[in-house]
Amino acid sequence: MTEATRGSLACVGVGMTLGSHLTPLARGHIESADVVFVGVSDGLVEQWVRRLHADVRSLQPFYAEDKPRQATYRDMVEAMLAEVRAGRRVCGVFYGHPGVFAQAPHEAVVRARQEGYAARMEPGVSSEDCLYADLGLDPGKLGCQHFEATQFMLHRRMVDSSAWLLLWQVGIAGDLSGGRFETDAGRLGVLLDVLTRHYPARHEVIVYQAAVLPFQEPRIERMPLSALPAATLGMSDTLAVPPCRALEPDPSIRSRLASLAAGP
Amino acid sequence: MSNVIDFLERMGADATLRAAGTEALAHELIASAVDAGLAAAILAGDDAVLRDRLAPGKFYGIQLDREKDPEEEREDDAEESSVRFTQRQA
Repeated sequence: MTEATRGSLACVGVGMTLGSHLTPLARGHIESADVVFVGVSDGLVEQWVRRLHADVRSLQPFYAEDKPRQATYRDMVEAMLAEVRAGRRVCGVFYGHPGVFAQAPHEAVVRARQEGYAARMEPGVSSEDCLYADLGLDPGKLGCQHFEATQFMLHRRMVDSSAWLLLWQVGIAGDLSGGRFETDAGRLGVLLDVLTRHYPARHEVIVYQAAVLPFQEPRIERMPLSALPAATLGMSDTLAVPPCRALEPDPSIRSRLASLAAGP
Repeated sequence: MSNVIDFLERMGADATLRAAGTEALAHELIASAVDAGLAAAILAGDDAVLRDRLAPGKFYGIQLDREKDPEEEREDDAEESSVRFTQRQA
């Protein structure tokens, strides 16, 4: 193996709440790396990561208003891979889970492997995990659908309103440009129209945001669906829509299974 | 600053501290020599003060774009081709 191919990449997550969710393995990757790149959504969390390693480089400068986010993610990948190609052990640190609603870590791992470098991703505690705990929602009970909010708006998805519906990145809902970091009442009004195809306007929905700092409580704000356009939403908010109808039994399948249970 | 980040890390990992009442939390903050203004912000649950003092500026949290459908991809490709053609002509 040549000097250049000894570079490696590990993408890890720090979880959602500062100090609460960092796994021993993720900490090990950070501490044993030659260089650490950090892409987290909170300045205090970034300060914390900086205390875990002497060479921590923020990925925040790659963002800019009206800069296409695709370009931002490409820049992040290139920054990490440049150090891998230089023969260094690189750790990419991302908030939550590095592979959930996170493009750059996935792309960086794939490209590093394509170029012959060792690369892996380690799971972290995601916002989804926190939501299940904070809302008391078990996805195994009635089922749970997940969509990116704008993609959900732009396509006629098969919505099962007897299961939970979670819309992620609702704080940038309706962005067609790929460069906005906010939404507004007009775009949320369109989302309301999409959702009222499946749910009554009076149906209660929940705006959720996991706690980032350990003295904070999660945001759990309940409101009728019709109030959505007036809601103040940020980049980290998620919309949770509870089921609005009961599970629909399938008698023929039940009958077939009962026959099988009765034996030949 | 290091005191308060250390304190937040310790609080994040300490179930007792996370559930502590205001009085117990105030005692811990004093024992950890956290700056009085920052300690007051923590006791008040005011994260904005902490961010303004320790990590000012906007932090972006969006790390994924929706997948574009094939029609949009073709439009984007056409736009990029058009830009490249214009640049070559210039």
